[in-house]
Amino acid sequence: MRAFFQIIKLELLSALRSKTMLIFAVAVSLWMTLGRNILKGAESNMYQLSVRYLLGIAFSVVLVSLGSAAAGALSSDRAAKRLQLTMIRPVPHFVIATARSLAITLYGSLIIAFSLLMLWAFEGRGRMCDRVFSPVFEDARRVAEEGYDRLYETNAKFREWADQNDREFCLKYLEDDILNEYVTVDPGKSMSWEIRGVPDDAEDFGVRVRFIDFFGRPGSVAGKFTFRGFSGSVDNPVRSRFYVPLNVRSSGGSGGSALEFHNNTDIPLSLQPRKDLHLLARSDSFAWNAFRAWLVMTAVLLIVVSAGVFFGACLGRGVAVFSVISLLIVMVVSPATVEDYPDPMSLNAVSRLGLKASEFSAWVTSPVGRFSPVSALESEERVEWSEIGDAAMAGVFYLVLFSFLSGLTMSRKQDD
Amino acid sequence: MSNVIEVESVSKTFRDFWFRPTVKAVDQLSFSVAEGEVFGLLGPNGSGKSTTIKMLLGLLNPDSGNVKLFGKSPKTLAARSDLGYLPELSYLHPFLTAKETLRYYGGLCGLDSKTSRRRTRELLEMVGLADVANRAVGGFSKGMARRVAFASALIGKPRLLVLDEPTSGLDPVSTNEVKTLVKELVKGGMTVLMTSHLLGDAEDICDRVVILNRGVKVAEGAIGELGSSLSDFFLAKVGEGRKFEMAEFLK
Repeated sequence: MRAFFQIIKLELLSALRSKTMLIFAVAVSLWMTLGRNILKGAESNMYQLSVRYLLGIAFSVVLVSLGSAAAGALSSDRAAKRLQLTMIRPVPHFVIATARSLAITLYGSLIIAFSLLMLWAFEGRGRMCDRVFSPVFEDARRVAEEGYDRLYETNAKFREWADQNDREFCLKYLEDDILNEYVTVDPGKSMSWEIRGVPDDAEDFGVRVRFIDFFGRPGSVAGKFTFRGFSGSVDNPVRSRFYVPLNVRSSGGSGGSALEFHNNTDIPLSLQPRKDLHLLARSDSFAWNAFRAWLVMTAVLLIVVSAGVFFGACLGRGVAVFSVISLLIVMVVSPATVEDYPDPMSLNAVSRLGLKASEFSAWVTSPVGRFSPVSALESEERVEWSEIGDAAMAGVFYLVLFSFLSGLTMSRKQDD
Repeated sequence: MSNVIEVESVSKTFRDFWFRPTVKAVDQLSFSVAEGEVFGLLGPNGSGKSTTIKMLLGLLNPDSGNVKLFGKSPKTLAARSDLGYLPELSYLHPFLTAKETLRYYGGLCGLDSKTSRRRTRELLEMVGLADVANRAVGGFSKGMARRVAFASALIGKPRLLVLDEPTSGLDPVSTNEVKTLVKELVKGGMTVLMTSHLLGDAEDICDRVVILNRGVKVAEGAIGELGSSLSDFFLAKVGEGRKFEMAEFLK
């Protein structure tokens, strides 16, 4: 353990004395201050713009810079022949990789904390966040699988189509259909959805909803949402996306788990409840939410840094840094490509290969890409402890995996 | 006396990216070093001394043959915990002070804080750097950096000390000090393996030497058994046929 802490101390001293941390702190301060002045011209949505651009870019820069620093940690020391002096000491090589990954993550997390602190000072004071609850639905994947089997037996056209495509593609297609399913609330009628997990003592609710017709157009909306005796009305002829505060409390009606909507118009209203209907319950302050987001960001940084250290253990500095940056670019680009999910049958062989590569890249980089604390902060949604747990577990898993591989590589790599 | 180092028929060939052999650095080398001995690994530039040392330190894998330190593979923690190494160049972290450098390597050797502090103080006094203990080593002269590196190699109180050109970059007074120090360490039971281009130094310190030329062992024996001065012996063994032909335009 002494060796472990000595290596962490060495890395932190290096960051301090080479003034890397100071430069980072100054750069973040300048970016947050100057960026805020630029955004001031926008006037509306200042908070959202600040989180998306100021914090989002600061976090991205930290990921790229510290990923690159991690890639250079072992490779530079190897090139300068300093690594061998550590490697010949009685320290397991994976401990060297682990300690360096943790040290770089530690100072990266301090920089992230600093940018969150500045964001709090600019926009976060007095701001709250909401817990987001979705209606309870049957698992889309399971419904898709059942639908696939049923349609395959009963529908000749579907069977013909399914035979031409692989099962996974068909299931994804059906799953998308289920997720996009419309429900219609007839004029003067009500519809309700079950919402689970809302704390009993919660009292401040709102509904985030989007009404849309089958052609994706907004229409006139008038109606009333009710949950546990709290209600709120919506009456707007133009917009499709609403936040409806449930701020009218009627007597009785406490408890229960149904969110109800009553259509007050004389036309049917359609929505996609799996996608576009959420109950929001006021949670706690921006500061607490920023703290939780910081934990997730640190875990994401740990994954990127561990990968960087591993690349640095295998490759020369230049190639290792290039690999980390490529990994981050792929992480950003792949999910969107896969999300669009082009029909493989309509693609030529090269494009199909590209799609497969994108799917693989999205899968490989998903541990980093699936955590999105910045977008949660932007939409003032509470970063859930379950997400922090998942992120922390992913962080520790990849730290152990990459450190083990780094140690193995360091032992095998010929220092010539 | 048991052997601290055993090298048996070790060969090492460096290869390029396509695994084509580029140079055979060491060829069928065998020697052993007994406990408490000062052993010299001598040879001209490119003779395979550094490659041999790297294999002894576990930084390079031999293509064939066996290398053992204290009867174990040099890659094991047990072997590494009894090892001290002074590289040819000091390779220190420039932003650390002399004291921090020693504390860092003390920590890597698993020393507790108190022992590490005490040994750091004593070692810095021993190498004459106590008054600059808190200065960053990046600003040190080559000779001062060399002393810090020497002290770093000793902080774990190793049973085997591997010295690659230990007197390189040192002034004559410091060179004498190093030689005296090595002799004192050996009296205390330490085993030393060293390489040097300075045959006078090797002659002064070493009990036995191996002379390498182009990766092949050309001679091995106790200093006293070589029959002539080490310098003459060395030149006879490796200098044969080597002569600069002056370029025409320089004549």
